[in-house]
Amino acid sequence: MFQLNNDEKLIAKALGGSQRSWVSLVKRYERLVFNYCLRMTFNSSDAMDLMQEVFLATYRNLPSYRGQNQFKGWMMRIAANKTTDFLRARGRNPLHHAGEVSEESYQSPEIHHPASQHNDPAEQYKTEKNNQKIKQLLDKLPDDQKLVVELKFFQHFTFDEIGHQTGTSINTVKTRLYAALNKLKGYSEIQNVM
Amino acid sequence: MLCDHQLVIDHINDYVENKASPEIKQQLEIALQKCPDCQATYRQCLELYQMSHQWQSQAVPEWHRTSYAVRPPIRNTGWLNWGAMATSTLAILMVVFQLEITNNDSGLMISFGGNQTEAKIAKQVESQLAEYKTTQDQIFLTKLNTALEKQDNRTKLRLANWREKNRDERQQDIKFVMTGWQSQRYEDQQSADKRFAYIADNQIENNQAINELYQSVGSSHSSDEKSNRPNNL
Repeated sequence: MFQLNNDEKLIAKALGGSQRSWVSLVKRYERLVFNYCLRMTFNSSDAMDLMQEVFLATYRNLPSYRGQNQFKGWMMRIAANKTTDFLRARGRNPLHHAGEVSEESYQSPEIHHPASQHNDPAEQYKTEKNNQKIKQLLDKLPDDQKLVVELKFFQHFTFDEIGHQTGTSINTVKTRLYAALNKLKGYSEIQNVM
Repeated sequence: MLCDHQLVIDHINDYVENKASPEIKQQLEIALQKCPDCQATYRQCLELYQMSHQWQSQAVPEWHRTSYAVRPPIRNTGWLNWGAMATSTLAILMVVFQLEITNNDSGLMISFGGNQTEAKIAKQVESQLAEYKTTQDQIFLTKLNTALEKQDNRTKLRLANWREKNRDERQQDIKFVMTGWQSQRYEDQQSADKRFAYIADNQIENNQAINELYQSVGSSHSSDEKSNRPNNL
């Protein structure tokens, strides 16, 4: 509740022209949005671009935010729309290779920054391996199913909220999630056999 | 018994997150025991759930958080640009109008249009005026001729129209008089015929009256009357 009120105050100040409030708001949610973008794009460079687009759209639409919902949900709706547009545009780009996520294609942003939270190289390797496994799994899914899995399992939104964010009905969301589970089920079985 | 996949679709997430009600939980467990497909879906859902908790949040690379939100600062060099523009404009105008500033015995002299004396300027003005007069005369004569031609044509046309119209009117008048005269003549003829007929009728009646008179008178002088009575009346 405190966070919610704090969001509202920061938004009001940002709308009044306070850059410091807007930066505080961005800092509060940038990690969430960046990791979301990273899981959706599998590429830290694309994730940065997408994150900036999300925050730009959020900033531009901030005057239309009425405060009836949580800011996070409202912003993630913008993020979902931007992600859909981004993935669609990237899919049309002939230079983009829509193949499997490889170690080369995914580089953790922490590699480039010495201020990492894992000082132990072994721990860092394990972290990257886990993340890479998740990204490889998500890469098997079509964009619409991937978005639903992301919003359900990683953002922990309800079906109602996901339907609101993606502009689809709850039944469609459930169907997409079930289809995604079935698809991943087949992939897991192949992995287990191998 | 067929498995109700819809139940699994609707509540598998709540079940995995341990948020399902006891009743739903019991129904789901029954479905999972009987249906291998639902078991596989549950395992996959559980795996995804666990994997989502294994994701290590990545730090955001350093980036400019307000570059899109902040307007670039306006450099306060407006006066310099305006000054440069004004100077350039002044220099161009000086070249165009051939501005000359000379200092002679009579003082500082500023002149436009190059180094020309007053006599030259007067002569040039005179020649330009003469040329202008010639041009104006030519234009006047041309316009006068054109106007005269137009007036002449207009007069001829009007005269021809008047003649044509006059002839038509006279013809119509003659026709009208002739028609009137003919109708009057016809009426007179009719009237004369009627009078002749009337006179003839009167003559017959007169003759009859005379005959009757003769007969009445002749009863006494029948022999004389027979010899004096007119024939064919």
